[in-house]
Amino acid sequence: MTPDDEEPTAEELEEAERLARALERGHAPGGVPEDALGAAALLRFSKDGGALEPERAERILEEALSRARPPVSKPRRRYTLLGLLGLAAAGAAAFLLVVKTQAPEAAALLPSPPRELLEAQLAAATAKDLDEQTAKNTALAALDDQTARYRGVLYATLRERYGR
Amino acid sequence: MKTHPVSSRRTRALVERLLFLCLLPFVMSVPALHGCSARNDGDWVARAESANRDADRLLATGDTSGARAALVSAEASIRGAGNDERAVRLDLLYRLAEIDLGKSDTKSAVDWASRGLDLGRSNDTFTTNLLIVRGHAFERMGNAVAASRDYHDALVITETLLDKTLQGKTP
Repeated sequence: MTPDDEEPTAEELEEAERLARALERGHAPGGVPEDALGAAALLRFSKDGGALEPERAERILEEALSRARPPVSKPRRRYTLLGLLGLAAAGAAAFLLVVKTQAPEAAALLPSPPRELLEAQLAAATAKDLDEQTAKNTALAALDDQTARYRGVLYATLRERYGR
Repeated sequence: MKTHPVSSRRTRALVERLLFLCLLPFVMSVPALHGCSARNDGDWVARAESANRDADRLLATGDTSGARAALVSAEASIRGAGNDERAVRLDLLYRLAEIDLGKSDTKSAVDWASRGLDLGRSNDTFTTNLLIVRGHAFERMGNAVAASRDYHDALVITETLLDKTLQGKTP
């Protein structure tokens, strides 16, 4: 048995694998001896002139595509988000406008209760001190009468406010 | 399971377009909504005022049931939650409580007044009226503690309003 017939060692097999890969792709993980790569490339070029076989080209393309990351379309997404934010802001502003114009009310905008109504309320709230039910009913009736007057003012204000 | 990057991109793009399509009609319909709401704004005021007039007329003829029905219908038709709507609803509920108190239906009077107070108390004359009428109903029911509490709360608000009136401030 000559030394060439001996079984290749694991190290030799690994080196051959890296060399084959380097010849095919131009690089290999872990690197390869430069002199061996040069010699192998020279031999291969002398054989087929460096032409890439269609099957191999297809395989390389498929592998490259499977490993390739999709292009990150950051600008497009940014514009889309900006557009959505703009729309949302416009919607919120429009909503606030509607709410504000729809509800011009505030406690301060309601007509102020007249002093007579407040006095009637005081009398009705202290009516428990009165012994007779008739006196209590009188206090409630006075409150009802003053509230009815105030109600007229209230609705006049609301009619004006809501255009009725 | 690994998601294919292309399908993930398509899904994201689809979601973005759907979001856009959802927001677009909203923005486009705001002017229309504004127009509709402006037209409907005064309806509840007219209905409530009309119900009050009807109630006055019916009470004058002794038809408490009819007056009650008119007020109940008006109160139920008010949808808004603004301060104006609240004030009108509280006034309608005060009237209902007062009618039932006049019929010695104290439990119903307490229910109407409580319903109004549950809409939200404020330092205003509408809240005070509800507290007073409920206090009287509680008193007739023999619940002196609850009556005193309502009278007290009513007096606190009324005193505040009187102070403001005397100082020339609008409450």
